[in-house]
Amino acid sequence: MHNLVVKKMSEAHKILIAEDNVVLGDVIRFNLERSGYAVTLARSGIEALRQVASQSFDILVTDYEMPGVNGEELCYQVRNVLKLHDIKLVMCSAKGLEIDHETLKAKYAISAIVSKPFSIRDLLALLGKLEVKSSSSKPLLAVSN
Amino acid sequence: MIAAQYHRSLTRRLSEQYLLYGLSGLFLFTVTAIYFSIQGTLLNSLAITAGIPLGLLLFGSFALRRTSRWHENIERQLTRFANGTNHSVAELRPLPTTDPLAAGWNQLLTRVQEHSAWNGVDRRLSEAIHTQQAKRWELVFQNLTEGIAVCDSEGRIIQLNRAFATLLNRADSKTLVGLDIVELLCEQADESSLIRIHELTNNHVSQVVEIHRSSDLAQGDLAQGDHAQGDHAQGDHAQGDHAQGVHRLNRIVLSGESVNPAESIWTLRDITQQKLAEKAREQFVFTATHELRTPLANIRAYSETLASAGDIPVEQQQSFYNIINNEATRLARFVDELLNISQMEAGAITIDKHEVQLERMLDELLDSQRPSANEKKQTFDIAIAPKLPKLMADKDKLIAALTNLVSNAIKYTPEGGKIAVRVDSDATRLLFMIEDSGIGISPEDMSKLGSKFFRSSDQRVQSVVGTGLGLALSQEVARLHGGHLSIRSQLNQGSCFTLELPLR
Repeated sequence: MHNLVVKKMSEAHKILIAEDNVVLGDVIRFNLERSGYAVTLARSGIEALRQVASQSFDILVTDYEMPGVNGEELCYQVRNVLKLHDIKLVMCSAKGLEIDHETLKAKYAISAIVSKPFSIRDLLALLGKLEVKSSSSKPLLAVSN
Repeated sequence: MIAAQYHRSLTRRLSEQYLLYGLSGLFLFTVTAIYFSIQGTLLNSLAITAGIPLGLLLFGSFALRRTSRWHENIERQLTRFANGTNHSVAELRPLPTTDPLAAGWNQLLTRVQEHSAWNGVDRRLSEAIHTQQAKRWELVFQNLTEGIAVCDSEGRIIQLNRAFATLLNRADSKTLVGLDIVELLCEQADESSLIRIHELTNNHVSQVVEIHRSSDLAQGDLAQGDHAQGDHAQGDHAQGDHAQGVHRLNRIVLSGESVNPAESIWTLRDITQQKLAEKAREQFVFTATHELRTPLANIRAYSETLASAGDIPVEQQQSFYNIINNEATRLARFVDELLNISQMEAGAITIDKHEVQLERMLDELLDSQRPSANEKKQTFDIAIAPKLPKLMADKDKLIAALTNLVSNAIKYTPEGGKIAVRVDSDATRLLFMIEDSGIGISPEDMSKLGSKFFRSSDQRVQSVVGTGLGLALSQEVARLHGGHLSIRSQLNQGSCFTLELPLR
């Protein structure tokens, strides 16, 4: 039992979702929470930026197109301004050919870019495969214990 | 040519005549000599033998001189004519004698001069036509919107038209003659274009390249640029933003008998508007794809969630189904709007006018919108003038146009705000006024309003679902009815949209 909890807790990676589409944000949170992640949902890029600056996350799942601070700007801030190098970045995009996925991935060390409409199952599988350095989930484990 | 031939044949004829006189003299001399040598007296015979032929010769040469005078005259004239130009025809003179040769000459001369008179008219006519044509070509050359410059083998400008100078930002085309075309083009081009211009020169075949005017020159050139957000993160891959001041440069190497080798024609055309249109089309596709992807993403995520998780409470399941339904409706509406817009673009949107029962139409319309206003606790004031005139209109299109305006008012007015719909008329027109106490429109956005897919970057607009097509459609419907849509607005105060239709 203890093992299970520890396992569960150690898996409880902290995920920040930046998604301005309210209904999509809700369903992503719903599914991620059911899969055992600790989810924070930011409804805009600027809110996500505030969150990521004030607490540590393992994974940031961000939409590309958001008014104000968009996904790319958010990644830029995370990597180049806040200098957070351990956080895994996943980007969702409703854009097609107008963004060059490979360049973008290389530029901000983005783990994956998924195109909308994406499958929730695929997203979960992708997040499961990310090798997260669990330093940031330790406080969560301590609190849970 | 003909004159020279005539001259040659006449000379031949004259020399034949001299020969004839000479031979006749010799023959007479011989006959007389033989006769007197048979008769005896040598002295007499010698005197007579010498005297008669001498007399004959003298007479002959006198006669010959008389005839040959005209010959010489003709010959002189012909030599001058043969060596001269066209104008020598005028210098040919008739001979004042009835001598058959002279008569023949005079006759010939009359014919030649008649002919030459026609020739002159002909020449003057063809010269006039030629001048006219040259003038016309010059006019065409100067007035072409495409810039054209002709260069020598060294690349120096020999001739150019006004458009070429204008496209290079030069007022006077004459000052550019003799300048090096590559240098001239490079002065105006941005860095990336320089290499393309040089490539063009190094190739000996005709070729086309696009050149971009350097940005400091292109400033203020375009009424509407793109609305690219200028943040650094986006700047790096904004390759499409280069539509400002784009020229298409074409170099054609001339070949042919009448030109020097390596002479070339350079044409320059401003394709900025074309590039902007391409960009707008691209933008249209991107926006359309985005607008399709967003509801699809929601539908997919929710249906997948519902399908994969069996333990979702029924209430939550219901709300998920509702979301799927809403998103599908949104998708369908977008497709409808897209269809309307594409019909509008193709000029295929037609207006089928019938008498419209205004009161009933307005009731239907407002009833369909009232729930949304109620949901946002907005007051929904309706004031319809008691006696409205008869209106001939396309009911469906009019409903679509008015629905857009009313639903926009509701969407962009915060909770508790005020929406007022007024319908009024005067002698010539019917007015639908939709006023709200909403977020309003900034002056910058106002100018772009009604262009397809335009949506304000205002956070409050972006947070509301919309395609940026509705207003364009409302405007088009008004236009097709011979009316128009006018907008008054103040940021943060509210907006008033007035759809005006003529009564006919």
